[in-house]
Amino acid sequence: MATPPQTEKARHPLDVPARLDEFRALRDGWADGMQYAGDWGNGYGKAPSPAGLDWLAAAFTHHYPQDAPLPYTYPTPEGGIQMEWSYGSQDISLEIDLETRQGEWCRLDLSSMDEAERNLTLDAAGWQWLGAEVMRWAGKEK
Amino acid sequence: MTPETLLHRMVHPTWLQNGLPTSQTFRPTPKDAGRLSVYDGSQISPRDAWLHFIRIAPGEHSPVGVIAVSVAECLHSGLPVQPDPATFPEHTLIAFTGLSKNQIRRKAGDLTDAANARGWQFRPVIV
Repeated sequence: MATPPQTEKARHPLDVPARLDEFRALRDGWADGMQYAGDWGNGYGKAPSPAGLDWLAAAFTHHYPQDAPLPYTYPTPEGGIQMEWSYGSQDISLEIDLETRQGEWCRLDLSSMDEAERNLTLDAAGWQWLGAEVMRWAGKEK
Repeated sequence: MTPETLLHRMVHPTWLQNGLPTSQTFRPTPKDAGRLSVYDGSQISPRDAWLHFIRIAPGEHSPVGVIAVSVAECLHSGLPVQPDPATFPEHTLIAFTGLSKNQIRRKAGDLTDAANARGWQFRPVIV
């Protein structure tokens, strides 16, 4: 189910459900030209599934803490969704598999090169953990 | 090709957010063994690269523009630059080979920052 349209005034520039709605227009082959040039014109890029986008929009809206910073959001050629947050030297990403509803979370400290990774089940607890982690590194820890 | 040579990269419309290309633009796709295709700016202008691209890969989503990194910026990030004229004369590869997923993400971010600091090299005018 598509998210109801919002006015430009009301929409946050990083509004996740609205951004996910933009990806509903993608068709298989949408990323053609982003792969190795020898394969250009042969089609590349799996479209994210409508059911997966429905799930992600609803799960994010309901479970990601409202006061946590919003991510940059974009589709991956594998049919998934990538979310990214960046604060100072901290680079946080979540690569979401829309079929399994699992996420591959990663935090990278660009100054020390320290890395942390975790596979997340994106249920209520998973989104809450993610939100707390983002707030911690964004300096908005409660 | 010199260290100052610019390497042109197409920007997919979905990899643009808040008006700026995101790091996906410089991230090689998983099936490409770390090879990122760019155009050698010593042989082709950003505009002509865009025109060449939409002729070769005429997909539903034309690139929203062209950004660029220099050869020196790639080498500074530890990324070799390799001409690949067999594919087409101006074709060049930035090699992200032998790197972990996180290393690729970090280096793609570095290149995106450098390209965004340089600004758009070409944007098509939609009439």
